[in-house]
Amino acid sequence: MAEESANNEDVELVARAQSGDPAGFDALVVKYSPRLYGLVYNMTHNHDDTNDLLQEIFAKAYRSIAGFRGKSSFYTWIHSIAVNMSINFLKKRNRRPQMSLDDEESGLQNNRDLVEMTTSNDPVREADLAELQQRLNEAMMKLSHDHRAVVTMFDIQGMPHAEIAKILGISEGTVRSRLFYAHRQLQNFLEEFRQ
Amino acid sequence: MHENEESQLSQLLRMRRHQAPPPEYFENFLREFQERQRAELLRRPAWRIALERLGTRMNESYHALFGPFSPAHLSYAGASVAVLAIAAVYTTNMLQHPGGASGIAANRPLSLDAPQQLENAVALHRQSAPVSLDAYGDLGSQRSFELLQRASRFEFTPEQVLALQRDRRTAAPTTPTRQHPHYILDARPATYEPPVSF
Repeated sequence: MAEESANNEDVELVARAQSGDPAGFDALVVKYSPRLYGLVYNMTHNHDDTNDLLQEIFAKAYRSIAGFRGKSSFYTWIHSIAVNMSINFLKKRNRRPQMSLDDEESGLQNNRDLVEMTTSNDPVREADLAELQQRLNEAMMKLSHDHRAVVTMFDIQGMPHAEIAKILGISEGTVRSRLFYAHRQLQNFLEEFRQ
Repeated sequence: MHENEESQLSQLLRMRRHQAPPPEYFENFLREFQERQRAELLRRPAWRIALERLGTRMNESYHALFGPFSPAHLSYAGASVAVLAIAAVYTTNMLQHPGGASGIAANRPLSLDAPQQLENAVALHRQSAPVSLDAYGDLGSQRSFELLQRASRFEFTPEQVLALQRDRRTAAPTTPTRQHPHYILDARPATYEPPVSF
């Protein structure tokens, strides 16, 4: 019900944007930028890159909004643009000289789970967790772009398989298979750290 | 053990769900987006802006003229009308010329019935051959000369026509541009001379 209401709201905002009302598109930017930030950031692991990419993603969506016919939801459409542009960006970045990706101290906050777990007055556990997260970052960056996109959408953003399949334009079976392979790779990386 | 690891991995990944920049980042983000959009508009070349304005005006005029019909509808209708018009023209041509195109008639074998056709055949021979009627004599082709004289008096026999054709075929390689015979002569060629009277 809530999902349907959100979708109706999107339809109305898209119609406003298509009729030339910039406030309609601004409302969509406000609504989707936090979620898309999470998606892009977990793909790039760099705040500045995420910021630039997010600007480009919304600029592209704005240019293409007139052609959006509503065959999929706006949510799916904008996520498709974001994933494709992020993957293209990563391909280009891989060709450039390697840059620092340890961007964890860039002011990210509001991690409620992390706050709960790290305020346990257990310095050893706290250190372990921070180390584990650091290892997980490295492990994520070793995944292929396609696998990283699937893990980001499923495990981090909590999207269902069917939605991911629609966004990536692949079957649900392929989504599950990519997830299985990516999880196994991540576990192997973390296992090395535990030993 | 395996499930435990899987669960730990999921937990670690889920923690990232709430990672976000401070709220003011998103306020600035929208402002930055609007500024970029405006800057992009200003950077656009004049011809593109003019083109867009023209497009908008045409769109408005179009809606004023055709109302609810979309350009796609009209383009389908236009394409259908064009196909029907071509089909109608083709059918009319077919009805007016049931024997087919002139190219087909041109490939038909020579008939020996009518004197006019024989005359045409002789004219064709003179045109196709590399030399004129006079030149036949110059070259000493007595046989060709005789044949042509007879042709001018419509005295061809089928064997003579075949001989003429053979003669023409032997001359053909020197005139590669004259591949296909045609039967319509507007006027007599300049090289034509009346037959010698005996």
